[in-house]
Amino acid sequence: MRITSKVTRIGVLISILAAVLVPFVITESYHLHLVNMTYIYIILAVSLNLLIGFIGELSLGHAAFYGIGAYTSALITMDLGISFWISLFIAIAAATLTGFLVGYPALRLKGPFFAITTLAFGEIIRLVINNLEGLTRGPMGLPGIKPPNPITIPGLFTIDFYDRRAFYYLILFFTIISLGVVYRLVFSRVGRAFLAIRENDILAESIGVKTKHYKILAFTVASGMAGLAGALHAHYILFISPVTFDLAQSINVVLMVIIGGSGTILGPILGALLLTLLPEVLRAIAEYRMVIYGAILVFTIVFMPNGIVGTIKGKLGLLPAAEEK
Amino acid sequence: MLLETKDVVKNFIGLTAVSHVDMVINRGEILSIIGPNGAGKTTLFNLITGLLPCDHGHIIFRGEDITGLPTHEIAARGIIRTFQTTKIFSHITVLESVTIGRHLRTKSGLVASLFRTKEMKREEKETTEEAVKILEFMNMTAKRDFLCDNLPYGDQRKQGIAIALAAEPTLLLLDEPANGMNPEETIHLMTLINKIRERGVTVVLVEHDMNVVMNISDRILVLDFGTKIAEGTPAEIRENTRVIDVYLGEDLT
Amino acid sequence: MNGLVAGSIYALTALGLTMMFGIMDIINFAHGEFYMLGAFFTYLFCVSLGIPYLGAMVFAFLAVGIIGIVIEKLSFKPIRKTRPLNTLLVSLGLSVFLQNLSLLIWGPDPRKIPSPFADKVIEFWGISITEQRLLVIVVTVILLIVFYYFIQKTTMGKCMRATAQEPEGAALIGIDIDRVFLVTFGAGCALAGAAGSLVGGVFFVTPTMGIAPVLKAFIVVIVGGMGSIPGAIAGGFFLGITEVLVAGFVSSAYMDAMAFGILILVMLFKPSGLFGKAES
Repeated sequence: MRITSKVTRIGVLISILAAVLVPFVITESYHLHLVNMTYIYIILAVSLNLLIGFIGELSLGHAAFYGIGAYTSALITMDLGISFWISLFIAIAAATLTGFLVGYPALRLKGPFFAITTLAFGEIIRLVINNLEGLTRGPMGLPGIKPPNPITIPGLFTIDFYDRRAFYYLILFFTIISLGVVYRLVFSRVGRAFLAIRENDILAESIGVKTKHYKILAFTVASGMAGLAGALHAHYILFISPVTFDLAQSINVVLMVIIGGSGTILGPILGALLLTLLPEVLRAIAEYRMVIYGAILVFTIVFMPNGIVGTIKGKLGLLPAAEEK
Repeated sequence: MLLETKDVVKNFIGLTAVSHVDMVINRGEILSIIGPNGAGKTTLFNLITGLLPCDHGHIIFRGEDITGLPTHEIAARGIIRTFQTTKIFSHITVLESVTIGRHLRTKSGLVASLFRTKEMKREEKETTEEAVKILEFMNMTAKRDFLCDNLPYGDQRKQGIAIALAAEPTLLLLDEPANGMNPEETIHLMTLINKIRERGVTVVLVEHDMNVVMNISDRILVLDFGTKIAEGTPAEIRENTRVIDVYLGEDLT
Repeated sequence: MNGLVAGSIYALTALGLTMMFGIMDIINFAHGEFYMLGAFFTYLFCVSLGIPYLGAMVFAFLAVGIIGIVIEKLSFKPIRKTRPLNTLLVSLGLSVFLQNLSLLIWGPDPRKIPSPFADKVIEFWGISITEQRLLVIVVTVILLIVFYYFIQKTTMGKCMRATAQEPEGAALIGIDIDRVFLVTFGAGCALAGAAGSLVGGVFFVTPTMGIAPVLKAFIVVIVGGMGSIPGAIAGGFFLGITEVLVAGFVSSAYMDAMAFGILILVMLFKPSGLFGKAES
């Protein structure tokens, strides 16, 4: 039994419709906030999955690009007075460029060597942000970031982004775009090249796949998307500090991908949902949270290496385009 | 002459795997490379396809010196190989992995894929059609939706060949294709190799199964300890005393 | 002198790591946590059970080794045949789990292991050093000698070396790979635990004490050569001495960044390190 693209298309339409209606259903401001954060994490998780699930490499530095996007956009709007609508793209460009610069040499390495390199890089970025106090105010963080400039449609109305609901639609928009990008990338010749590299990179190379080229492509795109998430974060929470973009955050996103199911598109979405909502539910036992996370990671790999979505897909006998055993 | 190796050498620590080998592959022929284990046959394949760098010597393909080129460049020029340790794309279906094999012959990149251009959609359709045709050629149509992992061993070896064929090679290098096959499968393999040659592909085999070697080869090359010790038609090789010595009385008929 | 002390710790920790990589092809992100557990167990045995320091260290050494064996059996063995990414992820998960479990159980406050050697100072050759620090060096040397004997002369040691060189060949000639892996992992963890115990006597014991040393140990292992025992030991001492020498000149935050920078450079240009075995 295969999911036909017709079923997928209907599913997507329904999801988008539901998403559009959300702010009318979820009226409690804090709950809407959670949904907004979930969307930001979805962008992070889905982009990291390009690396973990589709190229097959583990990056432990994804949060660094998240941070680069956030700080770039924040600083440009605050210090240079540039509008968010421009700084957003500059931030994405900065993250993408850094992604390319890091990926180009780093992707010569594989597996644990690559993972450690990304970890080291992530730490270097955090240390730099922390110590360039003149620019970034270091560990104290940057408060007073402004939300995106209001959009005025003359004669009609103005969208003011201090309103959480307005922001919701903004984030939803970008999340849909991100998901669309990933979807189109995965289900294409490029996506197949990714798969080939993941499954057997020597064989891929032997049939003419330029493995280095595609690895760098995946890494660069993923970094750019993380930068997008960062810029959105900065102009939503209105305060950023190096602590949000550290190794723990990188690991957090890795968890989302793994628990949800790497190698699928729904997986990271589910993972982001779970790991954004779970801390809320576990609020009472917040101190146990990381212990539980660690244990969950070990358990998931040992018993459910395809994550939740992957395992369900396996059990339903669906033959996905990308699935681990 | 399609491919020529001139004086190629490959050294590993304490061992010379390939020692000053000069060989020639002619267009449209089926050439077998034989020799005892460790004679350097697979290493030679690795050198030709760029998976290992030559320590000395040159490899000329269609008049172009391809020594030192990266593997994917060599593949792009038409040299495709299969592997002794069965390499396939495990966790996807047979059809999907053959589709991947079409990578070289298609070209949609990042932009085309993101924007789903007409070109791209047309190419996708063609790719699937070509992949289906390859499976038909290999008699694997019935198994097209199987996960590659779930294939029996002999089919996995066939799968490797299917993926290689999808890349439309000019020169196909098969590394021990008959490995682990039963007699019936071996006969099918020989038919397949002949069919492949009929399509205009030059085939070079590394093989231990003398039945296969003697029956389908136009020429045979014999390696021992990294050196070429004999070269000729099956009849000539069968009579060659050096070869017989090397195989110590193994049945060459 | 302090460089030798730091070097000893790095050498011990790096040794365990490199062994696990050389023999089992495992990169153990949780290595620092075994280091930390060694320190905590020593503390527990000393303080709660009243066992004298040296004895506590021995027990801690064994305890960490046993935990290592159990973890190998339960977490690493089942995924041995799956993709290497999974091993990475499991060790990452273990690291997070163990760190935070310790945080929960013992809290973040640093403790000090009461050691009878702590305050006595010895002087010789114009150098003065606390007995505790001297102990670190002495114990390390003893452990290294014992380890050398073990890996070179005992049957298990030979099996381990064979497996490191030729994993498939070793299985074919009848070596029990499962047991070799158990012992390797247990021994590697125990060594890390020993390092932690020693440090606990000199500095403090905290749940996050394993993070920095293990990153440094990684640097040592990668620079000295993944899987190379002499590389790990030599590299460990080298790093320890260099660090102490350089610390006078550079602020520590940037020193860490520099260490990472070196790591990246070495990985890019010579990933098999100076002595090591290349990745297969």
